[in-house]
This record gives sequence, structure tokens and C-alpha cells, in this order.
Amino acid sequence: MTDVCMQLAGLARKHGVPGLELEEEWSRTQEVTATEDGSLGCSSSELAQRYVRTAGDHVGYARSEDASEPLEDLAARAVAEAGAVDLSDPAGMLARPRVGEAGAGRNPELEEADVAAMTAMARRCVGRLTDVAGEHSTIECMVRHYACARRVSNSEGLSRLAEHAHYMVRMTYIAFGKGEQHWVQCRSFAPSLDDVDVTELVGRTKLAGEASLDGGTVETGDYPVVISRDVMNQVLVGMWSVFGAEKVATGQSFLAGKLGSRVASPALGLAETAEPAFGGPGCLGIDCEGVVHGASSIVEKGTFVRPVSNLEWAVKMGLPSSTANANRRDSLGRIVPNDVFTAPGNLYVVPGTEDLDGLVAKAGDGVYLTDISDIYHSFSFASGGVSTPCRGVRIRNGKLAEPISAVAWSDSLQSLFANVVACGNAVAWFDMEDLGALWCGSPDVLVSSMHLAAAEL
Amino acid sequence: MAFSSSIMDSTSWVDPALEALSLPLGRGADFSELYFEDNVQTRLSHDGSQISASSVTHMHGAGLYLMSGTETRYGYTNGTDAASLRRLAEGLGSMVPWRVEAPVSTVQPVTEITYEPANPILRNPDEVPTADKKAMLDQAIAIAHAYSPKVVDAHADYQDRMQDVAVLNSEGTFSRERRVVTTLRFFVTVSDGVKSSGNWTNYSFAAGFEALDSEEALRQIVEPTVQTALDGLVAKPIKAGYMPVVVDSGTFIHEDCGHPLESTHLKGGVFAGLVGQQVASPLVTVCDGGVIPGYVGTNAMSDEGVPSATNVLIEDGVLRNYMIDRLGSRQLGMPQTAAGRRQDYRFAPVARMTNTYVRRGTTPTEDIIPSVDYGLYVREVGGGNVDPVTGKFNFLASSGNIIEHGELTDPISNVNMSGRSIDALKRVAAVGDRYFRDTGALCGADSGLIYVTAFMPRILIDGMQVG
Repeated sequence: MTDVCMQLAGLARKHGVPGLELEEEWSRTQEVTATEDGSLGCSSSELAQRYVRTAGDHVGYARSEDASEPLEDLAARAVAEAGAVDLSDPAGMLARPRVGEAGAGRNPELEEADVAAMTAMARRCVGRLTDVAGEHSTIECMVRHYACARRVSNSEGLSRLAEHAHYMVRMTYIAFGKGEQHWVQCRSFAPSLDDVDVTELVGRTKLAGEASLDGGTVETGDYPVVISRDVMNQVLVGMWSVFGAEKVATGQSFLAGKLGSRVASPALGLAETAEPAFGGPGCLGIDCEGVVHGASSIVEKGTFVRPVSNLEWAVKMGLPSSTANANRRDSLGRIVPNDVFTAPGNLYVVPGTEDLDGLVAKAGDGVYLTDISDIYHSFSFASGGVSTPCRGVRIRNGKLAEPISAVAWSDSLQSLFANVVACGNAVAWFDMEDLGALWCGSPDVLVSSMHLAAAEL
Repeated sequence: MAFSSSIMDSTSWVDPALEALSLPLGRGADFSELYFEDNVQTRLSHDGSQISASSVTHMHGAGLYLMSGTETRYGYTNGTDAASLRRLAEGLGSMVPWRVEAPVSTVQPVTEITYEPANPILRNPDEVPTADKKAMLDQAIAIAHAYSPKVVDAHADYQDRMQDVAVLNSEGTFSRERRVVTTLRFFVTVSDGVKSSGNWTNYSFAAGFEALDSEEALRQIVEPTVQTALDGLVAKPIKAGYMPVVVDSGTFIHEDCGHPLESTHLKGGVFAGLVGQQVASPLVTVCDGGVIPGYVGTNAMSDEGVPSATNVLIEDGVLRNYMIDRLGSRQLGMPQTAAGRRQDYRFAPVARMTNTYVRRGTTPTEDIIPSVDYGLYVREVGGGNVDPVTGKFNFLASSGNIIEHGELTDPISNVNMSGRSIDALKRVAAVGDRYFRDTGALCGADSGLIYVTAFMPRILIDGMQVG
């Protein structure tokens, strides 16, 4: 037993609670941003925080960013909070099995960011797009280095440490025209800057950026649609919680009662991955409850096989284990600090074999969707309804044609899931920065039919 | 436990802060600011049958904001000792070259101001027994179930925040303030056995626990939340098209012209360079100001240390001013307007709204709906977005009705409205004579989630794209 575990055990005895668990998290973020006019920006941040929670009949949480606050005081606060809780600890928190071996850092060298290399990369990416930038568009590239360490210890002797670091390159393309402005962002994550595929990232940004403006519309109707990987990621961020254990268990998701049932076309798979390259909380090695990250299928060949869950909801739903999706919004994000909740680590649409050209060719006469405008208010979790303005490129005779921008996607998620024909072969990853722990990935996805409505402004 | 923080209770941290402020001034920056924050938030979650979680969070840290002309940098740390602040200041100041390096300058002597709380607090949340908070949540859940047997899930979160902030900058500002916010979030799902419908609302108050401490106060939150979800079960589609729209929700003005009037979004924007020009119907006067006691956008000072004041943005349809933060002031050559706001120390301040409202007009509120032959009545705007540069907006009417022959008929749910800021403002054909209640909410933008209110009287827009 480590010293921290012994200290927690002693504090648990002192306060008369069955157990205490401590999560310590440290992170450092450094960013360099280059714009096409040659200017550079930067930011730097460092955050250390601790969480204590109680086990037993009542669960209370206490969190502190004040390093000078003794662990004894933090534990006392958690115990005081626990006094407010009615719930018998539904999962026997400390007794819940932590699946897998002790977390080992997937990228244990939390090296200092290479600011010079970051600056060079940012300038290089911007330089690759300056030929399309001009009076109708501007280009920006941000390179971020993120390093994080997490340790989960408890009074039962659990002590797991995980470390992770990655780079993210994010390109922003802002287009102007006909009294409109529109911006698109594309991202790439990698353990080192050498692993970033600049050509792919620049090409994707250019295509989405150029498609974003001055488009026409389509006649209202049902079309074959290729949903770009970046749009599909936004869809996942907006609606992932319909697969979350809490919404499924409480009837807030239209997938309630559908566990084990066919909810999508056999061409659709949805899974969590612990692959280290992608940068999300799922790469860290352990989640906020100390469960080791691994691979979990959520939707397998169209069948809803298990919900995204943490330990608490896994036990409440009678599932064999957590999917290691216990997160806090502070993990890798910046929103209001929160208790442990369920959120994607690296939730992704399982890729297929076709490249984008192949999907577009299969669509024949349809639309390539490159942007949706409002992921926050577009989805109804209970009914599955979708309503959002969107943009893209018309597909004619299996080839990309003219841009369209005055279109609304007005349909349902059930229909989207049911109509998936094929998934592309390359996954792009996405972090919803202002939502913190929501990380998703997707390839381009071809659906046989999506209802699009002409919009007129 | 009574809340106390080093920010309000001592000044031992000031000298290390002044040293940190001085470091970037010798390395290219012409302005430096430290924003210190200590806050304690408590939260109780009710899962519908019992309290399922209870937590307390202590946030503590400082954000460093640097400027050279209109070039900015931001960094933060929650190590607020002298060494941590020095490391942040040295690193951020020299991480990459400044485009234009300012001459070496020094920190001006500081003048300390400690503000009295801007909002009356009758029951400090940290002095309210947890049992009272639990009882309030139990009561809220009970009200939902009593309101309709179709409620299949109702759960709620209670949250309070005691926040101490201090702004210290190289121009000699040293201002401190304590802020208190109390919030109830209510979530409901209803079902008629075939269809399901959900809704949630966030009510935030710049007040203590007294804001939630009565059955009547809870009814005013819970029952409309449930009713909107119930309306979703029987909602009818509205015939899409261009039609008159009657709006009661202040979210409309927040999105329509609030965001586009923030200096952060002015460059090339739809309101840029239009001060003194007619941008709205002469019936429309729009103000913003963190000075209305009890409203959750109210604070004694901005997050850049500027004292709060009322800012008339549009007066009788004429654009008078913008919401301007320090950076915007430099960019526009106009005075700051106490608009610099941020979620917490981890965010650089940007120009944001506080309490935004349309002044009352003269049309009797009850006369507005009868004046419409066919159109949309919007009780609640569930959300929306606006491109602040182009003014193009898209709102979701989460609650309302179809208007037929001057009367409210079928309820609607989640209907899209779209248009452009100035076009919609110029089409305001009537402004009612009384305000509708605002709920206080979180607004998300460049500097994170901040508490704002937005309210207005009933207004009639004589044409807008619906559906």
C-alpha cells in the first residue's frame, strides 16, 4: 500500500466512513498560433487539482485547486458533503472492480513542448494555404502541446498513475463573401509533430473552407448524402449522450429499452478506443475512477450492444463492467469543474474501406455535407429529431460539383443511423474544447437518404 | 463553513503579483493584468427520488493578460505563490516574439478599491443547512409530478457559488469584489405512452438561497418547464414561410443584436461604423448594464476592474454605443464600458453582455397577438446562434403557439427562426408595455460560460423566416 493509500485509510477510519478515494490531476497546455499576416500568438497554462470522494452508504465529493489545502481538510469536506446524500452507494464505490491492469502511461515522457517546432509547424501549415487565402478568406493555424498526469488512489490500496502528452494542430479557415462570413476548423492529433500529416490536414481544411460560402440550395427532398468526418464528429458531440447509460436508463434517450436491439444499419459501428495517437481522455490510460482504458463496442453492425458508462451507471444497469468513461469536464477541458460523470473518452465511428472519392461516386446524385451550424440545439434526445442549417457541396454524376449553403437538415437520428450505407477509411479526431471531455472521431459516412430542405434568407 | 479567501482577507499576495506584472513590461508588453480568483461552489444533485450526489469545489488561481498595442497573450496557473507567478510571467512574455515590442515601462502605483456586494444577499448559501437545500429539491420534484402524471423523469441540480475576484493591473487598478450566484437546473421528460418529449431550464439568481426558498418561487420555475415538455407531445408543425412573429423571450435580443454589438466581434461586422445611424425601428431602445440588483448579470465591476454602468446601445432605433472591453477600446479608440467578462481565471476577458434588455414601449401587451392574422408566437427561445460579424441568426423556438386570426392555437415545439440582425430590428412593429420575467442563464462564448440576463417586453416583428 502506498503512503497516500495508507493516509486515506487512516482518514476514512477517523471520519467513520468505509473508504476514501483521491484523484490527482495535473495538466499543462502551451499553444502557438500563426496567421497568414505573419503574426504569432501564444498562451500557456498549468493546472493542478485534487478530488476526494467518500465510499460507503453516502457519496460526497470535494475538489480543490489550492495546493496548500491539506488532504485532511479536503477529506473532511468530502465527508461533510456525504452527509447530504440519501443514496446508498449504488455501486459500492471502492469495491467496484477496476477492469484491467494498473494503468501505465501510454506516452510517459511528458517532455516540455518544443515551442520552436510548434511555431515552425504553425507557419508551415498557414503557408500551405496562403495561395487560397486572400480578400475572401483568412487562414490561421494553432499548434497545441498538452501534457497531463492522473493518479487515482484509495483507502483499499488502489494506486494507478497514467501520463499522456500529445500535439494538436488546428487549422481555421474563415471565408467571406456576399455579406456572409463562415469559418471551418479541422484538426489533427499526434504524439509528435513528425506524425502530423500536414498534406491531409491542409487538403481537408481547404475543401471544407472553399465549400462553405456562396453556395446555392437544393430542392427540398431526400438525397444520398456523404457526411464529412468533421461534420460527423460534430454530430457525435451533439448527440453522443443518447448512447450514454444515464439517458438510456432514465428514458431520456430514444434508445431507452433498445439495448441488444438493431438501432442502425449493419454498416454502422460505434466504439471507444484507447489508441494513444488520438489525444482524448481515452488515451490517458485510466479514467477518473481508475478504470483502465480499453476498446469497447457501443454499436456493433447496427446493434446497440452496450451504453457508454462509468462504474456507477454500469452497476445501476447491471452491466458487466464500465466502459472506462468516467470523466470530469475538467479533464482535458476548461469548463466548470464537475463531479465524475459519463462522457466519451475517444468515441468513434468505426471506419470502413472506401475513400472519400469512392463514397462520393457511390452517392451519384446527392450532397457532400461539410458543415452544420448548431450542434447545441439541433438534436432532441428523447425523440431523435434533428433540425439544423447546413452547408456542403452538390454531388453530380458521382463527382463533387457546386457549393450549397442555404440548406437545412431536417430529419431524425433514427433515420440517419438506419440509412448508413458505408463508412470511409480515414478517421479524423475532434475535441469539443468548450465542452471539455467530449472527444470523438469519425470517417466520412455515406447515407442513402437524408431529408434536406431548401432554406431562403 | 463560512467562505473566506485570501483575496478578500489579506493583501500578502499583492507584492508578488506586482513583481509578476512588471516582468513582461520589460519584454515587449505595454500592459499587464493579473486576475485572481478564489471561489467555492457547492452542488446537490437530485435524481428524481433522492439526493444522488453532493460536492464542494474550491477554485483558486490567477490569469495573466498581456498586451502590446492590440496584440494579446493569456496564460494562467493555480499556483499563486511568487515563484509560480514569476514562471508564468517570464514564460508568457517571451514564448514567441511580439510583433511590435513596446518600450520598457513600469507598473503604476496601485489604488485599492474593495466593492460592497452589488446584490442583496439575504440567506448566504454557505450558511444554509444542507437539509434546507435537500428539501427545496424534493419540493421541486414533487411539484413536477403533481403538475402532470405524464412526467416520467424529473431531476434537478442545485448549485451555489461564492466567488472572490481581484483585478490588479499595470495601470494602477487594484479592485476586489465578492459575488454570489444561486442556480437551479431542472430537467424533465414526459411521455404519453407513445411519444416522449423533454425539456430543461436553468434559473440563476444573483441572490442567496432566498431566491428558491418558497413554493411559489419553485412553481414559477418547474411548471413552465414541464408545460413546455408537455407541449412537445402535442405540438403541430407550423407552415414554413415568412410571417409575423411575436416574441416574449429576451434571448431574442441577446442573440439578435447583443453578440453583434460586442466589440470582440465588431471588425468587419454588421454594426461596425454605424454609430449614429438608424439600425432598428424607432420603437426599439436596447441597453446593457450590470447594475440591476438581483439580476445575475449584475456585478460591482467588470472582470477588468471597470465599475459597472448602464450602457445605452440603441436609442429609439439609433446605434449609440458598443459593449467594449480593454482590447476593444484600443482597437476602436473608444472608452471601455465595463464589458470585459470571463468564466473564471482560466479565460482572458472579452467584451460580453451583462443584463441586456429592450426598454418598455407603449403598446398594450394584450393587444399585440390579436393584431396578427397568421404567425408565430414565441414564449421561450430554447437557444440559438448568431454570426456576430454578418448578423445572420438562427433561433429555436422551444415553446409557443401558432397564431391564427389573432388567437393562439396549436402549440409548437422546436421551430427554427432565421434572419439577420438589423433586418429583424427594423421590422419591430410593436413593443409592449410590460416586461416578461427573465430566468438568468449561462451564455457561452470566447471567454467561457458567464451569467447573463436578457429580458424585454412583448414585441411584434412583422416578418421573419420560420421553419
